[in-house]
Amino acid sequence: MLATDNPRLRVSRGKLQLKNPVLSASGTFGYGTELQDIAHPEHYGGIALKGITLKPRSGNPPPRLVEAVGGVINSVGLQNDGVQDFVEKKVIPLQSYNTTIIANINGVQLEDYWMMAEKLEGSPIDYIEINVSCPNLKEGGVEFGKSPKSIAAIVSGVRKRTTIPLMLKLTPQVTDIKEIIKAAEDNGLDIVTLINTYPAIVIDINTKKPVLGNIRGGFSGPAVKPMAINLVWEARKATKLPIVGMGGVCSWQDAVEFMLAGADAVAVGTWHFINPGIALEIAEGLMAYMDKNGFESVSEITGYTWRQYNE
Amino acid sequence: MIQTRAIVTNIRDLGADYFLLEVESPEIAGASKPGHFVNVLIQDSARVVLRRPIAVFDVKSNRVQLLVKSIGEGTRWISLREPGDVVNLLGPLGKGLFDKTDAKRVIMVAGGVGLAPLYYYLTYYKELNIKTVLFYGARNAKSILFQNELLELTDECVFVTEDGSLGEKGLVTDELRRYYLEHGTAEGDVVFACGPKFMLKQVVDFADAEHIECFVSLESFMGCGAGVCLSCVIPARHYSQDGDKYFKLCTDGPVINSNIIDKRYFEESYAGH
Repeated sequence: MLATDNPRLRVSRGKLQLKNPVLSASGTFGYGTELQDIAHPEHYGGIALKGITLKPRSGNPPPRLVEAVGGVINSVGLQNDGVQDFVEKKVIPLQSYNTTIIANINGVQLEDYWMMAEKLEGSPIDYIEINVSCPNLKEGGVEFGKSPKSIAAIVSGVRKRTTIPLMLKLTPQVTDIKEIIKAAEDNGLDIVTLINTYPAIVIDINTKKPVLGNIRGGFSGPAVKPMAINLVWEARKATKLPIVGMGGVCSWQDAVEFMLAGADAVAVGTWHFINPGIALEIAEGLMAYMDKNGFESVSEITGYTWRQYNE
Repeated sequence: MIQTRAIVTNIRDLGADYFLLEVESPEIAGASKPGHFVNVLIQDSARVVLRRPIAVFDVKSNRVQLLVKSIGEGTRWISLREPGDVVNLLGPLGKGLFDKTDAKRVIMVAGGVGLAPLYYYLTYYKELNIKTVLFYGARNAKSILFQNELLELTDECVFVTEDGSLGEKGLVTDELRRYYLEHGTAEGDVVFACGPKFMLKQVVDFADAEHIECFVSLESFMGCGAGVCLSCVIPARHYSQDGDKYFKLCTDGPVINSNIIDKRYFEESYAGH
């Protein structure tokens, strides 16, 4: 049996039910099957598919990716074929895999989220991840994520239209994460996922122009990890809902750290580009860590450190 | 496509900052075709996060050769490998191109390190007994690599240097034009080009004007290299309302028919904004 299927890695808190705590972060794993030669979908507890919007989008002008110390900045801009195509084509091949499927939905206006929820209801997906934190949308996106009022409206509207469990992907740019989470939880949220990328700009000093075609992009990678862990720690104070932590997960050690801070599961994003086979490695590393540290179940790691300072 | 830890079997310092890295990987060697590339993991650097996409230069039995010019931290790391070192590779990646066997005459235009993806095509067409003509330009004689091999591989080979220290003096594109003035176009001509953007623009303009089928090998920062992250896109020349506005360089290319690329992409100032 692969470590990814070991029952000791099972995650079960509220609506978050996963065979292991390793997810793929939206936008870094395509529609789940492209990398299966080297990164099989069944190695994951869940796969967050590439973000979708109500209508197809061609995305931002290139260049869309640039490096910075300890990470990368992307401005892909949600290039996708829209929710209809997603339901009709993208989800179908994934049904046969033993993993959970997460649809990441994005809107430029509140109603976009609601209408996508309607379209997704009845489709074979396991979770809807409401993305209110994409920095690459000129309207909507991350602006919703900073406002408890917008979040309440989006989550309640989506909740009314679907029975699929709801995740909310938060921006690190929050002023008060407690307020944001409360607004979502009061309106039917099931799971908190954080963090999305940090807005960032790189300028070419020779051309004196921004490197990215969209000028600004979102920064991700190992450099953001300590900030992401700080926000998981704060989110744990705000809610008893399950938390999926992400931001610079590059190894099983990073996964453990997120979990010690309070995450029930973690997602790998940028590091898929560097090490596509990382999910299996994390699962194997978690098993060895549990054996060495006397944890019977992976859920015992969750919040282990956090509790010593907060209970 | 596999992810593998390949052992370095040889590295040759070719001068002028060029290096030929040879690694043992039966899987990648066996699956590689012209037009493929590998994504090389650069280790021990906080500044270099992404893998570096490097064209497959040639395949010798179980070994894959990569031609690299050391121009930045990533390529410098590659140039410093020694026999016995392990290099983490992802590959072969790219669409590869093997449908041009109907070509009657293949014209190759290489600028500097742009030779890297074209060399493998030359070996391929040599095996097929298809006529090849190579225009290979570089700054000076020292930067013209594999002279003997190229003379052997091609039917005609024109070296061009900016300072005239080897072959013709001037630009490779001028020699391309001169060749066509002398020989005229022929049915079944196919042009392949790889080099700096100003060179590619001239080649593409020329091929467009002469109605010659033209393929260019392009480069870009890449995330996954396998079509999932949508980072390495290039703009399409024609697209309908429903059509794709962009191509993915990693899986639709990196060798791509120039007639589907928005020509503004070849402008030096092109940056999308």
